[in-house]
Amino acid sequence: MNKKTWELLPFWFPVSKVNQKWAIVFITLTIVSIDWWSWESSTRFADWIPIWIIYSIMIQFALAYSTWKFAKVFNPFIIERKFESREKEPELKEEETEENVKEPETEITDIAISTEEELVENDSKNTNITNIYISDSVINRSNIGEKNNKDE
Amino acid sequence: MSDLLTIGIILAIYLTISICIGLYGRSKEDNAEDYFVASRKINPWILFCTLAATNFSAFFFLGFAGASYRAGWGFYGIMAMGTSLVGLSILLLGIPIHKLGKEKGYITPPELIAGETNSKYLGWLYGAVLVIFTLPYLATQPMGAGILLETLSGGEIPYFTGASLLTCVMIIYLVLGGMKSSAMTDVFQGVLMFLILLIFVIGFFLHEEVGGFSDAGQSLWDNKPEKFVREGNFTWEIIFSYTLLWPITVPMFPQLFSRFYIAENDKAIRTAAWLYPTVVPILFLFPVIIGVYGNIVDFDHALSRTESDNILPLVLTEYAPLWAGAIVCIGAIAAFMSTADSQILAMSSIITKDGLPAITEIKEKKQKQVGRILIIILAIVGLTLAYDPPDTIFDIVSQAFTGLAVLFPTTVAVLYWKRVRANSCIISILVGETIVAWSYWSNKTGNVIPEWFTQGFHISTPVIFVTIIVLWISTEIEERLSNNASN
Repeated sequence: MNKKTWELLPFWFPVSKVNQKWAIVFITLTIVSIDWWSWESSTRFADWIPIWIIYSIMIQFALAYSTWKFAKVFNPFIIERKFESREKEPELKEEETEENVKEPETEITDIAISTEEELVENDSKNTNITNIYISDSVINRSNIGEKNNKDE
Repeated sequence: MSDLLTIGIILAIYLTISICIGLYGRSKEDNAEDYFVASRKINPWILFCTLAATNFSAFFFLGFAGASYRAGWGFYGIMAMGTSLVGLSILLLGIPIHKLGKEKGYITPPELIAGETNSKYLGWLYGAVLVIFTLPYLATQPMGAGILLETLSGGEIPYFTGASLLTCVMIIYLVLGGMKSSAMTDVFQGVLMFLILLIFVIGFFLHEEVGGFSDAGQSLWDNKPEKFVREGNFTWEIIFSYTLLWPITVPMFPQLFSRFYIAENDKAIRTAAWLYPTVVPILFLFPVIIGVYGNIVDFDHALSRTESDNILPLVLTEYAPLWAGAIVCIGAIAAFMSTADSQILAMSSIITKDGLPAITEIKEKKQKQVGRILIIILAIVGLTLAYDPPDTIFDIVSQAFTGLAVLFPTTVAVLYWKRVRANSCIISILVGETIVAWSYWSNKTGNVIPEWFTQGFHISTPVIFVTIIVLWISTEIEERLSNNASN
């Protein structure tokens, strides 16, 4: 998915393939935790605690395990914005290409900084918004995980 | 030794330790960043303890037990899964907030929102919503402390005297120490409350009149079998609503949001994120068990809705010797104080950094001093609100949470969505809060919110849904209008 495509997605939609897979895991756990099928159950374990409570605890431990695994690979795409006054408006606007804009990858390397700037129209009379994206080479690479080519 | 003296000695020991820890961890540098965000040097384990202790409050200790007394085991379903999902929110929001905070020096939540959208108006609105909806939640902390001490001492320590005493101690270590003191005392208070709660639950079931887990369970089943089932107490729509509400609203608490800034690195946040759902499933059982099995205790009269918030101290006075009851109450007081101090500090930083600069210029060196004065003022405001509480703890908190949840879509969009515009965020927050006000007004006037709007869910679910849709659509419209104008 290139930048232009994923930017059209609603803000709550996970961008990368890895995050989409994890979203399915967490949504599934949330749905099965509701436990409709035994809603009227009053079966007890050792007389004192309902079985559905034990089930709920198990689901939560599965959630904790999933969160632990996800925490290892989660590498958020940090958007860094800079705002400048109109008089400091950049002279050139870089063309957006698929080559210079990529989705975040999950790879462990040291922090490297290079940015690409793009001018975004602003309805304010006094300011322009210049969004500076942290692309592949910019993303804080202190996070854990492997690069997934499918994400690009 | 008189009852009052016993309680006084145990309370004095606890409060003295809290103040000493607060003084030990106090801010030593004379700048706002050290005072409000502990120079961003908190390690993973302290971060987890402070996140947990900050979130588990009077609501956790008294509100859970009271609601479980009324509604049975079903209340565990209302609270547990949703709170476990908070770990995921900590991960998704905490990492970008931490990174942006470190890079750009943000100290408060509105600073980040205003800074990332270049809109001071959005920052003010965001800050105002945080303060307005945190104040009633803050009031529940001295409320809880007052209830506990009054019940435990048999009325010898009046409600408001107990609430005032604990507020004063909190002010002392907050004014002297700031965020570092708050985090250090949170660790002590958090560990204390968990251990005490565990010992209390085991002690309760081992008591000869209760007769163990199985006998207590059978006794409850014979007399009140409805306490074991969800049917009749809650619908699945309500449980689903709360499961969604907690992960959305908890990171919006200013005291939680601010803690994302204090982590020494993003690894600390990752660790806290998975530890959170690891402890919640077991921890949340304790107050629910106390509430549910409070139903097998014979009281002089049936407890009213508000009285049921007293179930924990009432069970204590029934079964535990006074000194043991006093120690359990110290655990509960630790829960109140660890939340209230963080709320006061977070609101103080918001007003110092975002609110007052709109009216008058505050020099960097003066910010710490202004923050201290605000801590005293906010603590007194919380105490004043607690003087004559109108609702049960659960009702007060539930309304406050829905108001804060409205900020969640804006926060996610600012962190993850390049296209977001400040005006769209403002519209979405205003629409959301208008619905919250409407639902509050409907409750107050005895009207029912129409079924077509809620579809059986708690009001928070349609509010969150509408807020997301409004933010999304208004951004699209704003963007197209802007494009048309430029073309």
